[in-house]
Amino acid sequence: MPFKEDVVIVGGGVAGCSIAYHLAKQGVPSLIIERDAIGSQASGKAWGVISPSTNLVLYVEGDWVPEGTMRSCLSLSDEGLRRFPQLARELKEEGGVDVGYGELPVIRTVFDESEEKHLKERVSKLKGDGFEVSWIEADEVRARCPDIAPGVCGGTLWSGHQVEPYRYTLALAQAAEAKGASIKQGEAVGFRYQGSKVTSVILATSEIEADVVVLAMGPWTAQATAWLGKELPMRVTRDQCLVLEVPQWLPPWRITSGQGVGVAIVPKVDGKVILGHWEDDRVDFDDRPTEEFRLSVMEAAVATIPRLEEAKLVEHRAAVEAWHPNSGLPMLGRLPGWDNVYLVTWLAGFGIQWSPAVGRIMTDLIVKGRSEDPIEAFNPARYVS
Amino acid sequence: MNMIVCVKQVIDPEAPPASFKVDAASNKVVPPPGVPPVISPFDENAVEAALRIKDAHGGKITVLSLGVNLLREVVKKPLSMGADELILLEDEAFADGDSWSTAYALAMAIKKIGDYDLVFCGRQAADWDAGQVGSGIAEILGLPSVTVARKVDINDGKARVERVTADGYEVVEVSLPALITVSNELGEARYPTIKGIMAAKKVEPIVWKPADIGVEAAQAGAAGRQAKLVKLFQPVHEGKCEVIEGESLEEAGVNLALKLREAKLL
Repeated sequence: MPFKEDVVIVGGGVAGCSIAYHLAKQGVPSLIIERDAIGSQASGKAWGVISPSTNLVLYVEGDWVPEGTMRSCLSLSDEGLRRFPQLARELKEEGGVDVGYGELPVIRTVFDESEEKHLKERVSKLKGDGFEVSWIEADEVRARCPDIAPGVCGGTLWSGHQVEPYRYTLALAQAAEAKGASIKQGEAVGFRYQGSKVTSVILATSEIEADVVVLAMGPWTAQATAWLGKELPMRVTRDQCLVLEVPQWLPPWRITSGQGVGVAIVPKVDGKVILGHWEDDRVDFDDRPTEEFRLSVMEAAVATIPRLEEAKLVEHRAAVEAWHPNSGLPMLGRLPGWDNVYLVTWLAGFGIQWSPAVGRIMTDLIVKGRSEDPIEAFNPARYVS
Repeated sequence: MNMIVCVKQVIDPEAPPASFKVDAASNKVVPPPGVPPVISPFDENAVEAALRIKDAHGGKITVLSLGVNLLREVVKKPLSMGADELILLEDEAFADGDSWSTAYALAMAIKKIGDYDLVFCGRQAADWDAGQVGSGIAEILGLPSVTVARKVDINDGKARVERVTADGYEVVEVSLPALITVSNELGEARYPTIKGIMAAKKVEPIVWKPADIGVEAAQAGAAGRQAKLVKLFQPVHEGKCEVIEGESLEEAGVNLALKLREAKLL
């Protein structure tokens, strides 16, 4: 006898777990199927920064977001910014996990006078477009971060928060479980269907009947849609970061610097420091950490905060992420041609920040059949025929 | 204090068990794809033992590693932790040795280094777990050897070593030079610092071939083996499961108890 579930969510990353959590809050039980373990891929290996500054990638980098879709993306980010303080408290009560929430303003430092001029202009444009960002002079950067390398010219200041990404993903899963969701370890290998409805998810060793199926498998989502005859365009990139133990705490400012190859220095609430780097490292599911990354990012970090030289490298992690082929747009909605299959993917480097909105919107789509949010640009029907 | 630490590059013992494969035709382990090799963990404990002595008394640490296809970023890890010099015995001729031919080549290299007070090895390598190379080196060089150390101190020109025993530890004092094999009870090896990693990147290891250390072709690697590997295989573990049933839970319990008694387990 196959098990019967209302909603089967394939993928136990931050998207799948947030959907399970939001469904459970609406009284809809679901089953998460996870191949490895909750948060074992990109979700658990992220930097865990929630800041409007991360939107800059979408906003400034030319054609990253197609004309007219930027506001839709920003609304996903804004919901994250707005809800995280409260969500962190709720998850601790409901899921019993401290998600390592804290404030983490972001300073993008500038060490070069020509870059200073460029960034100052950008700040006034961003302000004009309604972003809360300000320019701070070198003295103020040094006051906030006394260890910054000499030669800093100033920087932009943004608000921001942080969570510990693995604990946050686990907290969503546990809070969902406490409200009736369940989690099963297994690998989906196919579907059974009747007409335009999927009737069950086939696992390697069993089969689970489902009223609704949600594919939340990050870069692997395209493999599952292929079983349903739908080709999903997908760009797979590798994101790496280093985890450091520092001899003395760094003040809680995320410092972004263009020194060397560029680096983000992210002090976490547990005292560890993450070094990250934004790079379009296109790979074919190769999630091995590279020595090149390690050395170049360490060099950039020391050029920004010299005393990081004494820090110990405790972990070098890498994971693959799903992206729209040539932009930063997410995909969420119903899979065209199938009545009861929903999907979320292309969360790029924004999965943690977007997860509260993704969970709520997908729950609306599944429970009410529609969403009031401006998500037309994310509709799978635009990309999958 | 001049110290030499022997380290071995091995397949990561933390690699998923499902990725462990044996090629029956060649009697060799197939390296799991996508899992980079590591320094054998007991050898990292040996590096840590030497670093602690260097911290307390100063000195120089030379790291010695034998193998083929040694990944520089792997074998340089002891340098990034604080060791001073890296010598690699890297040549096809050293491949597929046994404990004896490996110990012999390492001993000849140590003889060539010459000026040393202590030689450290891990208690055993995480791949073959034979645990013979350390004592083998001591035998060939005529050094006293102390195995499975959990603490090493230097006092009055002697090493004071705490050895792990089945129910505790014993304290041994040994004159120098001596060889000591180190166990995990010593404590975790330190993490490398950023400064250490960047400095290690700039160090070029010294590479020695058999001729550099006076090892004849017939004594090196596979040619020098004294033990022949007859068969390498993965044991098959078979489990049998029987479901004990009954009309009620109580009856199922009684049936289970009967079964266990029949099997002489109760």
